[in-house]
Amino acid sequence: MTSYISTQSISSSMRQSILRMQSELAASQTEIATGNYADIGLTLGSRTGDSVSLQAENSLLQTITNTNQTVTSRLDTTQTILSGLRTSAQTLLNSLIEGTGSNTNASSIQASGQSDLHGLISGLNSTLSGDFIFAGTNTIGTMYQNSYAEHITDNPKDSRDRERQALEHAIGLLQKAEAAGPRSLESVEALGFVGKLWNAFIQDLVDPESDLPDVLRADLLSVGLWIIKEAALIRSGQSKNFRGVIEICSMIRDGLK
Amino acid sequence: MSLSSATNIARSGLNTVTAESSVLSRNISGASDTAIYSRKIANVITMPGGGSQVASITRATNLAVFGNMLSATAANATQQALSSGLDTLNQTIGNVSSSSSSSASNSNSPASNFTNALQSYQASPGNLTLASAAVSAAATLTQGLNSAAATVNQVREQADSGIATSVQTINSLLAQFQTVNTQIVNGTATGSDVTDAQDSRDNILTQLAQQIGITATTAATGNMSIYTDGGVTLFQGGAARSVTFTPTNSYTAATTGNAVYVDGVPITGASATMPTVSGTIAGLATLRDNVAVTYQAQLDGIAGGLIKTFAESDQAGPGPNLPGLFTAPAVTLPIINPTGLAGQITVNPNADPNQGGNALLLRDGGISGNSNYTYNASGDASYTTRLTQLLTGLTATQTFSANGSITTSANLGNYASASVSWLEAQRSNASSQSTYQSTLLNTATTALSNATGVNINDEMSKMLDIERSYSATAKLISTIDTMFGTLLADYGNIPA
Repeated sequence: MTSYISTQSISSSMRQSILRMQSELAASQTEIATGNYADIGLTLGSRTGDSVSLQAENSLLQTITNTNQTVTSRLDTTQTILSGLRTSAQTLLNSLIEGTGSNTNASSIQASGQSDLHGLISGLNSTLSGDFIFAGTNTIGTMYQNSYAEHITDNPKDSRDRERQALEHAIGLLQKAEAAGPRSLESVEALGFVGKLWNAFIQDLVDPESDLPDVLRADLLSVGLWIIKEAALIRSGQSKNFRGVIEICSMIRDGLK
Repeated sequence: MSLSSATNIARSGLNTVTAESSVLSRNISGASDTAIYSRKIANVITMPGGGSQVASITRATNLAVFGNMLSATAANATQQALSSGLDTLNQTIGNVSSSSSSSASNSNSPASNFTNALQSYQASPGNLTLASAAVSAAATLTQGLNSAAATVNQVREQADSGIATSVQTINSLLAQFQTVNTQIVNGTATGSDVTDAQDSRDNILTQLAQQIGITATTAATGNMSIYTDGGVTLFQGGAARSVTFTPTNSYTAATTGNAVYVDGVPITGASATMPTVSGTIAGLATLRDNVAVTYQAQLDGIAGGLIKTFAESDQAGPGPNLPGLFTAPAVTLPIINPTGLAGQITVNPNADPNQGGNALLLRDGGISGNSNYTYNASGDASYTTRLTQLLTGLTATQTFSANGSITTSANLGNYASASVSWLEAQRSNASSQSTYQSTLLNTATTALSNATGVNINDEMSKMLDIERSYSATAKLISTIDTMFGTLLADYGNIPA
């Protein structure tokens, strides 16, 4: 008994296999082109969630890498500024230790100290991408004001001290000149110094920003003018009144104590 | 035996041969019929006293194989309906591939983009551009959830209207069935040839099986009864039972669809005592009532988790938690019933620059509008505590409703990927079932065709037989005619 095949089953089975192979061909072509499964969800099924989680982790790690670069640049800038501050502070300290003693070194040390302080403040106010680095969490407002730099004015006590020292020096030179006579080298040196000193005093006195009361200023001005005139007379040989100049300078010096 | 009886026998033989050849020609013409066509067989019997007669015309049948084919048709239709619905739901997930061109800011997942934007913003909390980018990534995420929820509702509506169409088809098919069945019963009673009607009745059964799984039994009178695969009567005693369904036109997350009633018994839905398991109706009902509802619950869980994570607490006192960056109309914390949240979740307009809000509130808190809920009391531009809190919250474990049929305790990212896994597993399963069932259907159809179909070559060789017996019978008749002629010629020569 042979099995019976109907004509229709012969033709339909061929058609079915052709249709199936064509759809598999289309899927394979897609897979070659993209390098992934043609329908990833269908193929992976319940493991699709793993794929999604891994991709999310991957992109999050990329983001963290990028933000870490921002943080790294902030920390690098911070470190650079701090080591610069340390270097300038060390330099200032070194120069202070070396320079105890003479006056000229003191003023130059003061000038370099002032500029170092300016440098400290501008360093602490430095920004990166609009944020102030040394500001903690309040990164919008300027952190450190220049209030210290602006308010380094001269201490009045120190300036009177300097004037007194200058007058002391002038008196010493004049005493030596008095001993040596009006045509000596000491006399030339003393009179030159006295002239420069009192010219400086007069310029200070005529400065409208001077803090001294007007009466005192007027008196000191007339004193100064007399001293300069007298010094010129002594230098030209028409006077020998060292003693007078010495006494006036001593009185002014004592008044500055 | 006489010559006249020989003539009669020859005449009956001719009749038989002509009847057989007409059956043959019917077979050959129906060989490539796409509908069911069974091979007709002329049953030739020998009459008492000689001669042959076509007693009846029957068709080749195989009831077992036919029953197999019906159930395979129904199962295949179920998986087809499920697969197409799941493919539509799959659009909400989008492209899960990782292309080599995707970078940290351009990945395919809105949730991943939002987390990355928030992470970038945390590194520079004073940067308004990064804050706006984070808020717009949040807006994209909520739009994604909203459209996913809309797609789920759409799938349910389509399933519902598919069920309505299917029920209409069933009713019209049952009406046709009734007509043909009556024809067959009458024809069987009078003994006429009902084979063509039986073929068309089988065709109607096949079409019916696509809509709903059925089993059929035939009585001796030719009357057929149809039952659903759950056991409910569809057609009995020559009359069809009523199949009714009330469609629902629009679906929200909380809508429940109606059941299909056959003869007053519900056959779909949770209240069905005799449920249908195969056929388009069963597939669409599973899609509408189980698959889509579960997926909706998962989406709502994600939305609820987002709102909870970004909620703000009262910094000053014991006030309730209020929604922060993510909010929904009329939502209160703690969230009791998250149904429908996925379709309603939005970005709070107080934080959205496109709606006149301030994106920097993401850093400061107080998005809910109440200044007691501001975290950044000192107003510092680089306040990171709140942002770090939010990022930690995204990775903290939360509890989710069990309606989602996946894990109930996970962090937000793992829950979302578990949801993706679940949908793809359903889809993969439906697809492989669909392939399996369609292979089964092909096998059953081929087996049925082989058992009852027509092989043209076989019929052609039968035709040769018929032709030979026709020429033999014709030869017999002409011989008898010659013999009669000889006899009569001799009679004519008898002298009077």
